[in-house]
Amino acid sequence: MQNYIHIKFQPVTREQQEILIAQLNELGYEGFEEGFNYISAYIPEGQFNEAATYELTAGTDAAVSKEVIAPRNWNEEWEQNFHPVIIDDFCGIRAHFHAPLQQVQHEIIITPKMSFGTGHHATTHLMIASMQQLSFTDKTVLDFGTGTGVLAILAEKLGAKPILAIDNDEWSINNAEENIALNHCSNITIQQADTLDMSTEFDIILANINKHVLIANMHAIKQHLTLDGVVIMSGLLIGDRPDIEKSAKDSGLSVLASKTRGDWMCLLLKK
Amino acid sequence: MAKEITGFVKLQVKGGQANPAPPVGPALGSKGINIMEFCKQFNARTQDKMGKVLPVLITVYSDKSFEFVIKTPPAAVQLLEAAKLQSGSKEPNRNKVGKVNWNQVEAIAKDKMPDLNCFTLESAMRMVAGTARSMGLTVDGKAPWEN
Repeated sequence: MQNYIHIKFQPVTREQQEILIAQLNELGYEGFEEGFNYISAYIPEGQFNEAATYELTAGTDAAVSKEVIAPRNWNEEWEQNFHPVIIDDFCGIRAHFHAPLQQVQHEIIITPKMSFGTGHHATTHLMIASMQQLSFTDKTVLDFGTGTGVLAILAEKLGAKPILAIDNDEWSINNAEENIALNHCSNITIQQADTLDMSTEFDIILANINKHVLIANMHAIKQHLTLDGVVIMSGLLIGDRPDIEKSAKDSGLSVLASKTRGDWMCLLLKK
Repeated sequence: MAKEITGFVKLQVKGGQANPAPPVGPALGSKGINIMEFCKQFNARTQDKMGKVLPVLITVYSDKSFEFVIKTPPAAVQLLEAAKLQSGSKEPNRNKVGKVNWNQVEAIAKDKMPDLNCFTLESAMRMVAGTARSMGLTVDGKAPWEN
């Protein structure tokens, strides 16, 4: 977690906005917000080059202001007021401030802190609906890109052990730990990592990420599956299917089943 | 009844790389949008333009839902790539620091046509060439319509 530098240029014309964004992009700025007569540009503090930034508008009317932004939970407002999610009568996901859910087989409490996986997104919904159709009893599970830890927690409630949950994001690692404690799970280990280089194999791999990361890791996913292992993957748009299927086939995986919800897709694959 | 629009947010974010850090976090979080959902959708829809700066116009509704439209990379960004420059000149017309050719201008104009208020390729090319000159880039050779 790092500080960001926010630089605001004002006033600037539309053409100046466009040119400044192109130049700031070359200086490593990550993102921009455009307003009526200003632009705001953002860069991690460690990459900030003050002289090069100020030089861009030297001799123009644009005033430049600088602000340091400390890391914080920007998603807090939504997280304070979201609705529980119920997936069939199989699984319900609620926050600690909601009343307990009735008539669901598995209730999960998630207090998200800028981490993905509350059940609201179609891909989490699809992953959970796919998990419903598999036996997890005593199966070893890897949750690749665990986010809030929701899928790892459900895997434990379904009888899996041991479970390894990995993510490359520090917010997610901390949040998954909190949610695992909230749900009294004892078979989940969390690791900060963005590649699969552990020495163990898993009976079930869960991977709700995106096409790019899944394709980059397809071979590693196959390498980490037991002989009869299966992988459930999502974070995929329906249009991603040809690329994913080709990558899976090239790595020695084949598609067993698929589900869709809106524009999104979930695939079940085996060796 | 149609949902009530409560605001618009105009960001430029790199394809496939949106994350809850600024600008996405402060710009959308304060409006009560679920930032994580925005990032998931944006990254899935832009992963084939990984790392390219993409303008995105987000419409925010009163129920905290949102929709967004992704545009093609700005002409200025594409021009800098075309000129393989570190940056354009800060003193237009006096200190030409790079060159593009009309084929590159045409390619950028074709890419940007859907976002520009232009009815013809020629007018789009004139706009892109104008941006190039404002950045201190020389457009090499004669424009196709001058031949």
